[in-house]
Amino acid sequence: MLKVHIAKSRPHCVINVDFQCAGGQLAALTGPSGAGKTTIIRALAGLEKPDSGQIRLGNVTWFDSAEKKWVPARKRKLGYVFQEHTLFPHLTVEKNVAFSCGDETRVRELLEILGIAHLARKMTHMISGGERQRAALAQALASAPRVLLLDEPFSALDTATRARLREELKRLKKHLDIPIIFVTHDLAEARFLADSMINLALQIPAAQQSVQTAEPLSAASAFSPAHIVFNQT
Amino acid sequence: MMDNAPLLISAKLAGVSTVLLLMLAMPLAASLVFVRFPGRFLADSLVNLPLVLPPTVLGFYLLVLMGPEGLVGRAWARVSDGPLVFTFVGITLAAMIHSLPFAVQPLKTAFQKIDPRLLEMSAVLGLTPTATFFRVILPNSLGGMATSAILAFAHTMGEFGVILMIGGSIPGKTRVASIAIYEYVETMRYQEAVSMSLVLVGISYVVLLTVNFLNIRSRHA
Repeated sequence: MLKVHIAKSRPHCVINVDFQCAGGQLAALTGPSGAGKTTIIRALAGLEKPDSGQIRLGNVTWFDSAEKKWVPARKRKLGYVFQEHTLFPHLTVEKNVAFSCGDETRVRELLEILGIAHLARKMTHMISGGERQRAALAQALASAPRVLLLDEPFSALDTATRARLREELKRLKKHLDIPIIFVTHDLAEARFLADSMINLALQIPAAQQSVQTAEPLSAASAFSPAHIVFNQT
Repeated sequence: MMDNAPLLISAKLAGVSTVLLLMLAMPLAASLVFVRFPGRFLADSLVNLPLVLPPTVLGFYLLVLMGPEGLVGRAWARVSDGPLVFTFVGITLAAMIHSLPFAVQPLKTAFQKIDPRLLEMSAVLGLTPTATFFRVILPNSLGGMATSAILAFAHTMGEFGVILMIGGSIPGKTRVASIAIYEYVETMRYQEAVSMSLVLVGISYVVLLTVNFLNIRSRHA
């Protein structure tokens, strides 16, 4: 179980979230631009330090402001897919996937599962945006991560590719017994994929609004622009 | 008849100092670009100081440091039982210091062009900063490394003032091409001066062509 309770002040907004995500579950982080979605995911990755709070995965503490504990990114054993440009341009697709994984069988398996085995020897600039994101997902999964972070992984893709990858992620999710945090602007995409949602409202520093928490999605979707955390199954 | 020895000494000096300089310049440039430390701005300016200092001034201070009574000279005498000035090792050290900015700047530019997300991705995938340097930063800076090596080599090939101050002009030992040209002119042996100068002009032109080619290729990469 990934437990997150963090706060961070930024010049234009205040981020204050409290949520958890179990293994095999996908939590969607949604909200307007500038609300702090990427800041939260970077804090989870160990790339940006929150001002206060805790981040725990099971019994392991990654961040605790009270104990002044901070585990750097390289020790968290994560999978992270950025919006774009996440592959190493000097390596082939196969070598990208194998970057942090010495297990050739696993690399081949992932290339097969994600339908890019035929591109294994190609350089990353020779493949399409959708193929690049598949390769990035394979790279993230190759090292058997304990948490998977996806920061708008499909936003730069065309509608058809996006829909196809969305289906593939949903299928893949069933086989991954790890928490998945998925950042998206697209509420329909979030509803399609997520088991729970954290919808961030823009909080200006002076306002200091309430803590935003994750809630399971229920059939009766209660959605209001003022308080964007909503329920749906 | 032109004596080829000074050209060979220049080439040897340029080759040795370029290899050593690259080994020094790569971690130095990486520190200046990727590591935040107090005084980084001062360190950066210090690396560039040989660009603006007159070679004789730099040579003079190096002579003070590397001479028999200097800090470096005495340390060298203890380990090698000989002087540092008027030796090939001495002019190599001097040439390295004088060419340092020519090696560091292209590397810095290449490192600055690397997408920071690649470095973050490398960290997320579990690599240490050192492993990231060798597996991500260097392979994505090959153009910068080539430019750095070529400029350092060319600059050392034409080195004059600093070498003269540290090495003098000992034939077969420290008498490099530019010093030989100066002496040919001094003794009115213009034919030899013209021949050796032409070789240096040719080398410099090829170097510039190569650097321009690398720059064009990196812009289109």
